Amino acid sequence: MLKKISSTFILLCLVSVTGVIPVQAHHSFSVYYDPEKMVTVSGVVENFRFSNPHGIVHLEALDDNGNEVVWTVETTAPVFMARRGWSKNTIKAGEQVTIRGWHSRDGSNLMRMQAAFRPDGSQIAGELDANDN
Amino acid sequence: MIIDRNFGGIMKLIKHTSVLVLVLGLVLQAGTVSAQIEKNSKLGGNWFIARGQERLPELENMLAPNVAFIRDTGSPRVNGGDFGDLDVTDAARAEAMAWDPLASQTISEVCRPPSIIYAMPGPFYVEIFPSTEMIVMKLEYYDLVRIIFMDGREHPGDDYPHTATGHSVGRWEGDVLEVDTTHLHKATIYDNGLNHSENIHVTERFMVSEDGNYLHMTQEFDDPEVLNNRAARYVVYAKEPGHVHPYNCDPSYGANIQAR
Repeated sequence: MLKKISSTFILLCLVSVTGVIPVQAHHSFSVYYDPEKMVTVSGVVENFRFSNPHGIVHLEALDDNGNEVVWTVETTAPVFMARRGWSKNTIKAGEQVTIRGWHSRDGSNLMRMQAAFRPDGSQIAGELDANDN
Repeated sequence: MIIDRNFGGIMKLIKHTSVLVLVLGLVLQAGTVSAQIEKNSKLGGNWFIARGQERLPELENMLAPNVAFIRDTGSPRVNGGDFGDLDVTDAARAEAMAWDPLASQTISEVCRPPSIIYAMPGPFYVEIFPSTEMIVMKLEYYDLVRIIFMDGREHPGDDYPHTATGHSVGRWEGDVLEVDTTHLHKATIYDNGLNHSENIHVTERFMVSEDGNYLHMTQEFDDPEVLNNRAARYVVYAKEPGHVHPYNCDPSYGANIQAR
């Protein structure tokens, strides 16, 4: 499926690391994520798990060397996301999206979602905060 | 004849006095119930963590002197090895330092709920349903349900099960609801490896602000197995519309995190 999608879409894999204001978080946030390191990844949604304690998006993308990789994007608790306009149908498998979030401390393809965008740049539902859990 | 007349008068007096006492008793009881209904009415509703609110001195002054405050209310997290002002026992410190966060993110562990020590100050809604016999607190976090018995019962014995919500008894002290909780299971204090024991003893005091918009709470506890001093959190909730939603924890999250 990954190859099919990759050949169909020209995926822009935009990975940028920038400094942001420090945040404090709840649950497992600061164990896994660096509150001062943001990452932005564009790719195709492989699946979207929308259940507590945390949602997960698997995002197929290309790394800096053009290799196919899958990012694991963790979200705040869906029970909280629902109040910000999110639902299990907000993003679907096969959709192209760009996701911005806090990068994992170990540098792996893992992030905590802050915001997601459609290809036209419009934001998908509400922005999430590390403080939301 | 005179004796009979006096006896009759005395009987009348006793009768009238009894009626008066009965009426007074009913009036006082009605007043007490009315006051409790008013307090319950203010306490009931859906609440969520509010930041930046000033503390109520009358509530703060009820805490034990020299209590160590835990300053993570709402969601700010304390990193590993940082225990703030808590004076942690050697055994508890050693356990906390050996903590492996990934070990708690497994399919069998990820839906194990924390206790009220960590859940009450967390960034999730708490809906309160008060009555004269009991007060029910429905926490959105892990679908926890607390029952606070208001009927004067005592805590059960040592063999009673220990759980995330424990056994709670409450009483009104003026405008302050005081809740005493025992029988909690061992669970995290900070989510950084420091756990309280199952012998922790918790005293919570709840007070609604004059305008009814904020609920102030202190959560004070002692746990000699883990702490050499007493600890407390000061939490302020704001009244919110709506209701608590189901949490319905899905353990497959643990499998996803382990497999990444």
